[in-house]
Parts: sequence; structure tokens; C-alpha cells
Amino acid sequence: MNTPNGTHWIRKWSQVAARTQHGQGPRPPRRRDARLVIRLGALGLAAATAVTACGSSGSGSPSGASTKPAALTASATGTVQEWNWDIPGDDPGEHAVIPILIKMLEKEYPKLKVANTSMSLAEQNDKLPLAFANGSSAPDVSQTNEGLQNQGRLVTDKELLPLAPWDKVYHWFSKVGPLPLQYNSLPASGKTFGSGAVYGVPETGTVVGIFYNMALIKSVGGTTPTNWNAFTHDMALLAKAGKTAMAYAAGQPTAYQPVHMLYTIANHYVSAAMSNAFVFHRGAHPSIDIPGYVQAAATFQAWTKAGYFPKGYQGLSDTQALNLFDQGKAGFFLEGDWYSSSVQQALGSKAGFWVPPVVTGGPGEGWSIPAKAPDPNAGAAVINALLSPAVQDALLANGDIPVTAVSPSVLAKASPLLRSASTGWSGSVHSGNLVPYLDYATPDFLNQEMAGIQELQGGRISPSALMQSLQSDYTTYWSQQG
Amino acid sequence: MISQREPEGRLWRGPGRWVGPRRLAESRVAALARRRRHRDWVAGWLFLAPAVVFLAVLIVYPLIRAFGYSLDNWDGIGVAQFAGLHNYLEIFADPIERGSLVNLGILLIFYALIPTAVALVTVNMMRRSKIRGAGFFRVVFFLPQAIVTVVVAIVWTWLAAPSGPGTLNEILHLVGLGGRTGTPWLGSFSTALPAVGFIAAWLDFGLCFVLLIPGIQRIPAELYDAARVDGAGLLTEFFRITVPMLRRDIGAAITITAVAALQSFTLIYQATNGGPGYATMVPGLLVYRDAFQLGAVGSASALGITMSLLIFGLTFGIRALIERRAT
Repeated sequence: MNTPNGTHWIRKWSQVAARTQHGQGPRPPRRRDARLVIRLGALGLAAATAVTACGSSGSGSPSGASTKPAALTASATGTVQEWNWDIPGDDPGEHAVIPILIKMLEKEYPKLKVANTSMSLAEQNDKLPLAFANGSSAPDVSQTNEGLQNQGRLVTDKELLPLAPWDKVYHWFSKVGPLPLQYNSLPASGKTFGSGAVYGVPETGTVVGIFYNMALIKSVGGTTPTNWNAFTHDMALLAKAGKTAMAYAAGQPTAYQPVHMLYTIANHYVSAAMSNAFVFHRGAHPSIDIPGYVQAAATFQAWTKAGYFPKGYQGLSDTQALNLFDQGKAGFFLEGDWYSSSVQQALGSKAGFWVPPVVTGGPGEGWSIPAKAPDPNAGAAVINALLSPAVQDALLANGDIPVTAVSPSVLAKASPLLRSASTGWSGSVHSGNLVPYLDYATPDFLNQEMAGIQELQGGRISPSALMQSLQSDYTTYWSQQG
Repeated sequence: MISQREPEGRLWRGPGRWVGPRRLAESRVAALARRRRHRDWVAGWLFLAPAVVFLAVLIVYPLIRAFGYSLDNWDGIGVAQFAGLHNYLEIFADPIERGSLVNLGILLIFYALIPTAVALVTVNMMRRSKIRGAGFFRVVFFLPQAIVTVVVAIVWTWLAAPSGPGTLNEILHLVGLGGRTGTPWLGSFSTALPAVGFIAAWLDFGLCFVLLIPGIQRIPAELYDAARVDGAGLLTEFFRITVPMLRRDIGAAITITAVAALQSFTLIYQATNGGPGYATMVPGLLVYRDAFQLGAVGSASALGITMSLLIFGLTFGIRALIERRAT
């Protein structure tokens, strides 16, 4: 049957309308000039080929900073550009110390101004490589994240200066100790880390431990979590009593708790030496696809199924999980010591902080001097001020673990939570039971494991499949490094 | 050769070639017309010049450079190595990149088809009912477009939270649908992609609405009167008059929103960051990750160029479809 199409009716009714009124018919279709499209396409292709044929992109120009390392004189003038990761949400302690640092610097160098720029970790990863490439945009000093994603890339592109020459002036390395410096050491290629020249000096140490609400735990018949069995038993009791066992988030803005949770569970099953070998890519076959890690992933999945985490955790952010714990609505909160001031303030003596025997942590972000820094000596003066007793004590007072040795008298004044964290940090540094954040392992590791853990918790992949996938990406990355 | 003029006004063009006053006038007109055409041509290009320079410097040149980068392995700073078509082959070999293209296909429905369809029905209803204060609704519907996408994403992240005052789940709970803590719409594997799509549809609806309003106002009322006399009902009017008459406007709305879908980044980056897992991963986010987080400028450029080709293809495809149907 031949049915009329849409335009048939329009024509018909247009004619009727035109007979009665001043009807306006449908507009005539415009013709497309196909030849013009073809010509433009050909022109674009020809130009593209010409540009491509002209050679490869990128200049690869090495830095040529030739400023002789020296202590900054008191009469120094100008403005020091200082960049950091000290946004209040991620690190309230370091954020609180910034004004103290600036005041101290401006007192020591009266004609010097300090311009502070704080940014998130994601912003750092995005901005630093491009900003450091140019003398007009590079700061004098900046925090850089340890590992291959940030420091590794910057060192590969020769965008950071080795700090040894300034150590001769200020003697930082002996104050900080070898382990925190190891995390900031890279060969000139920037393809591995853990050895080589030092490119960053941290101001703090960090450990990922387990905050607990003793009042809530006692209310369900639990005991102080001083070992793994007591901790897991308490969680089971809380869940059985219908309470939220663990304040936990895996949503947006990007919550880092999922990776910290996996690391901490893995530390129960895998030795620090094996995890270190994986992160630093040492030994014959560094691997995450081993029974201990698979067991850790299985435990993580089992906790999810057992309902230890708050309902709807997939849509919560780190801050929302912290609020849940601070409001006394969860028994545990597994995160870094940097939240201790918030927890202390909210829960007071009800709260405790347990640092497991093998613990994930490491120095806080390193402070680095860009190769194209306008005044590297001014940048070095900032680093030196950060390691001064005044700033280091202020860090402890504001809830962070100072990287330099803390005197017992100063430690005694710190909050109980922070004392536990600080003792855990120094103990693990000395015993060798400190495990680096696994996401240092490859530049894309964090993205991959975040997505992988979400799939694990959603029951979409098995524990062994997660580890196989992470190992496969890790092996591919290292095979490409030659 | 110098012309010689006879007393009666004829012009000597050479031995034995005398041009009469009529032909002389014609040749002068032709010369004048030629000069005018030339002047018009120059003026035309002068008018076009700013746009051409703008396009060449800000669009064509970066596109050509990006194509060059896409054939390299380059971290954005250091020395590049020629990689041939490896980066392009990787797009189809990598399951995450392939998955992002599938997600994009689904999001196209939410970004383009749903808002256009809803806007079409809405403008048709407004035409029929002749609602007072149509201008007010136009502003209200268009308002989401005027809000920065990051803010839209943050607000919807709050609204889509599993629990809390003012959330969708709270409203559902109040009307007896679900418990106090409900689905984490943006965090659950089964709901994240439709949830992001819903936000995009909400965003794009106002744009489509504003694009279709002038079109429907151009349709003569007599056309509908004639159809009604012929016994046409609501649906017949809609499908026989409104849709065919707005074909080009619908095409424009779909093209603009589909291109927005292909370029989608901000909303997804802020609302889900591609998660959970890779459930809402889109090529725009992968381009950003590759270029800025991983220093894989070659891969990012290859994906960017592929997306550009897709956008060109889609735009021409929609246009061809509209033109063919309209004739």
C-alpha cells in the first residue's frame, strides 16, 4: 500500500491554508555543497601530513638552572612562590601551619613576601608538569607527591633539582632520616624510585591506622582493638548489633578510603618486605598477584557483604565518612593520622588510634625545587623553615606527625591520638615495617585499583581477578620501561 | 595600442576594427561589472578574514597539531618518539576505551534524544494551550544552561546522595518509596550511568526547548486550522505538522546536544569520575587522564582525533538525514 509521507500532508494543508489566508509553506531545503566539504577535508589532511612530516613534537630541553646553592641572606627581596597540597579537606594540620610558616619567613627575611598556593592532589598531578616547564610559571618551591605519577614524571622531564647541594648548606638529610628520603629518591631517568638523587624533603610522616570509638565498641561488648583478631571481632559485634562497624566511603569527590582499606588488610597477610619489593620494583618477580593479596581482597569483599560499611557507601565522600565517625555513628574509621585533630575534637577521650604492626604510610609529600624556579635559594629557605623546630612543633600541635625526631617533652603535650600515631610512625620506620602506598608503583596504579576495588565490592570481579588485572598492568608498564 | 576616436564617437580598436557607441557602452559596463565583482570578492574575504583567522589559529591548527601528536609517544614535555598508528589501534584494543565508547552511545540517548523529544512535546503543548507567561517558563527551563556545569554536578551529587535532608532518597522515603537510606544513585553500578544521563537530560532540555520555540512559532496557525477542519486530532497534528515543520530545528537541537555528549567531561568528572569501576567512563575523561595525569599525550590526542571524526560524522549524518527527509 502506498502511504503518504509527512510532507504530503504539509503540502496539502499548506495549499488549503494558502487559499484562505496568507499561509506560509515549508521552507525549501538548502543544498549542501559537497565539493566544499571535500576541498576543506583535503586541505586539512594535506596540512596535517605536512606538519607531521616536519618532525616529532616536544623539545626535551633540559633545565639549566645555574644558581649556586647558598643560604638566603636576611636582606633578600621579592616574592617567593610556594605551592602545596595543604587544602583543609585533605590535610587540616599542614594547612593550619602555613600561616605560621609565612609569618616566620617574613620575620626572618623582612623584605621578602611569601605567596602561598594550595591545591588538591589531582590539581598537582595535572598542573605541575606543565607549570614547571616554564620559568615564568614555575614556583620557587613546591610540594610534589612521591612515586612515579608525580615526582617520577617531573624527574624524567628534568623539571626538579637534586637537593643535595642545599643539604650541604642546611643539613636537612640528617634531620629527616634515610627512610623518608628513600621515598623521595629517584635516578635521573625518573623511571624507578627508592634510590638515586634526593628530589624532595618531607615535613611530616604519615601512617594509615584505625580510629576507634571505644564507647560504642564497649556498648556492644567489644574490647580495645590492640590486635587484628580483636579488631575484626569488634566489627562483627557492631554489625550484629545493627551498628555501622566502619565509617567508610567510596564515592565522590574521590574518596581514598577504598585503597587505604585494601592496603591495611593486605598488611595483615603480606610482609612489609614483599610489599616494598612490589612498590620499588625490586627482586626477581615483584608481584601483587600472590595469595596474601588475593586473601586481602577476599576479606575486603567479605566485609562488604557482611554489611560492615554504611549503607550507600558508594555515594559517600571521605568527609562524609569522617563526619559519620565524628558524630559517634560508627565503631571504626580507617584512615591516615592526618584526621586525628578532627576526631580528637569531636570524640575526645572516647576515641583511640590503633597502628597495626605492619602499617601503610610514608613521608608526607616532599618539598621540591623546580629546575626553572626563579630563585632556588629562596625555595630552599622555605624548606629549611619547614624543618625548623618551631614549624615542626606546630605541625604536632595541629595534628600531624613531624618528620624530624620529636622530643618526649613536646610529644607529651600532643593529643593521645597523635601520640599513638607518632609512636606508630617512628616504630615502623625503625623496624622496617612501614609499607609505602601501593599507588606509587606505577603512574596509573591509583586509577586502576580505585576502579578495580569498586568492581570487587560490587561483586563484579573476584579477588583473584582484581590482583591478576593489577599485576598485568604493572608488568606491562615495567616491560615498557626497558 | 592607443585608441583613436572618430568624430561620430566610434572607437578604433585596431586596423579595420571600429567599435560603435553601443558596443563601447557594453564593454564599459562589463569592465565595470568585472571591477565590482573583484571589489566584492576582496570585500567578502575581508569580512570573512577575522572568522577565518580565528578558525585557523584556534581550531584548524590545534587539530592538525593534535593529529601530529597522535602519531607519537610523548609525555607532553620531553622528547617524542614516532609511534605510527599504535595509539589509534590501542583505542579499539583496550577494553576500558572500548567500554567508554559504549557508555557514550548510551549517553547520547540521554544527552540528545530524550531532551529533544521532551522539549518537542512541551513546545507543542504550550502552542496548543497558549499558556500565559510562556516567557517565564522559557527562562526557568533554560536556567540550568546558565549554571556552571561543575555547580550542577555538585548539587546533583548532593541530591543523589544515599541519605540526608533534601535528597531524592529522602523525598522517596517521605512518599513511602524506600527506606531512609536509599540507592546511591551515582555510586551504584546499575544506576550510575542512567543517573548521569538523567542530569544531562535535565541540563539539555532547556536548550532544546529554547531552540524549538522559534520554530514552532513560525508554523502558520492556519495550517493547524486546515488540519482540524480535515478532522486531524492531537497526535495527527503533532506527527503530520509539528514534527515535519520542525525537522530542521530538531536536527539542530540533536546536533548540538549530541556534540555536547561526545565532548562530555565536566559533569562526569565531578559527579562520578568515571566510576563506579568504569561504569560511567567516557572518552572525554580518558583524554584528560591520559594527557594530564599519565603524560600520555599521544594516546590522548589519538582519542581526541577519533572523537573529532565521530563528531564530524555524526553532524554530517544528522544533517544528511534531515535534508533527505525534508525533500
